[in-house]
Amino acid sequence: MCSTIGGVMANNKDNVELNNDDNQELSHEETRRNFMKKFGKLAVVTPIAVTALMTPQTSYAQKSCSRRPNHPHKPQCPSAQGKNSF
Amino acid sequence: MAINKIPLNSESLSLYLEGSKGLLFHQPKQSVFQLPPLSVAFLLAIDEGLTEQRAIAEIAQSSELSFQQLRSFYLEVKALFSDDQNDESYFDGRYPELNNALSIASISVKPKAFTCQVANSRFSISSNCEHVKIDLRQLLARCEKKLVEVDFELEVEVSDDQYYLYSNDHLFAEQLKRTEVIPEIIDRLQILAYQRSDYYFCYHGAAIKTEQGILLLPGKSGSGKSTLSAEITAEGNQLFSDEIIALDKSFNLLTLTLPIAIKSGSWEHLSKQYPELDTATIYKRLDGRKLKYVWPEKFAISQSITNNKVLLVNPKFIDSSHDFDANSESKNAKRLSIIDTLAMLSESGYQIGVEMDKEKLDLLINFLLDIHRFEITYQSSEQAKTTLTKLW
Repeated sequence: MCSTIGGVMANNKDNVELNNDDNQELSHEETRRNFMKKFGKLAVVTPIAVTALMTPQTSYAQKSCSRRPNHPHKPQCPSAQGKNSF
Repeated sequence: MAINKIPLNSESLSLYLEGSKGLLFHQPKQSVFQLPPLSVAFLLAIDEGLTEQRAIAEIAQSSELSFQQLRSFYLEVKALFSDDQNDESYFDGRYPELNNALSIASISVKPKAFTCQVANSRFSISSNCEHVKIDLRQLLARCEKKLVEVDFELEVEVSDDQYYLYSNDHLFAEQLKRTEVIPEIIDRLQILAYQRSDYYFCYHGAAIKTEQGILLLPGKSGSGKSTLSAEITAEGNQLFSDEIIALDKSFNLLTLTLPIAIKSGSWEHLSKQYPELDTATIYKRLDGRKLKYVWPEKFAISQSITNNKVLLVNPKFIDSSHDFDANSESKNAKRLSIIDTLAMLSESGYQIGVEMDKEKLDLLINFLLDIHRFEITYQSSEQAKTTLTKLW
């Protein structure tokens, strides 16, 4: 059975299919076959690989620029005794 | 185009289909993946319980790919059914001073320190360099606030003409030139302020309140969003931030009262709206880019944006060497699907402030469904603003 995210139809926005109780419940096999039947031709084209969009590894503070390139590690400020660094 | 949630047998995975593309949430990894049609087909086959041989054989009937090619895609999807968790958490992306700042009492302000507030976070900044102190007081006068206790104590130390920056005793920048200090300070204020808020989703981009509604301009550095946001703000609109789109669970948009960073390529262009650019101090980022700061006339108040019309636009500036038809609306503005929007937001830069689950992903998807989403290409600010007017 397909259910739909969001149930609000609004002007100028994407159509959101409302969950229609009159639709027949589809089994997984039927869902898969319907998908393959509809998009089977797309499988002919060499597909793009699975792409990660949101992961803990790629979620980080949004700085406006990267660090100075090829910046070697250098000693801590001489007056920084007792302070932490990371 | 509709987006449909497809129930799966796997309890660890949630699948959404939009057109021919799939969006998969992996609960143990708390990660979201985009799947092309072939991968969706394999996912459904594996979830149904088909063997590797049968899944590949069925799909091979419609595909010109070889068995080995199909198998490699099959195995990639099969790996998604592993319940292995990530070693990292979304909270690992928080700056280290946050881990203590959320649990310890406020810090007493040192004598003569400059104090200011950005969103709900209070800062003191002190330095043994008089030039830096003067620069800070002049540039950040707009967010200055008399405080006796703060959440973050920043210190700028100079030694042998090299600058070292500390935040709550954590060294976060070293061996800077004087012109590099202020941009690093402002970035730190910005990031700490949003990380300390109750944000769920943070995207790299500008957010502006206009007469028509809320304009979100996510995009990578260099896409032209800061220049565009400075122009739009100069026309009497209210700025939330030129760099950070931070949304909490109710989709309140965070306001960060900090100046707008304008790169050198836009100084001349914006000097009419911001005459102060002519005499403003030149600073440098660590990557060498020169910039100046300007303040918008008005800031918006942090507010929920779900009751407003929201236009999300990914701006793509193309230089004059490329062919461009300014009159072709169909070519200059492309509507974005939900999956394309999430991919664009990911590519532009993001940070998630909570542990993810399918309910929070549904929350984000529902929010995106309720807003207008476009990508626009432009060669001048005037073209961009004309396109935006039509999109409203």
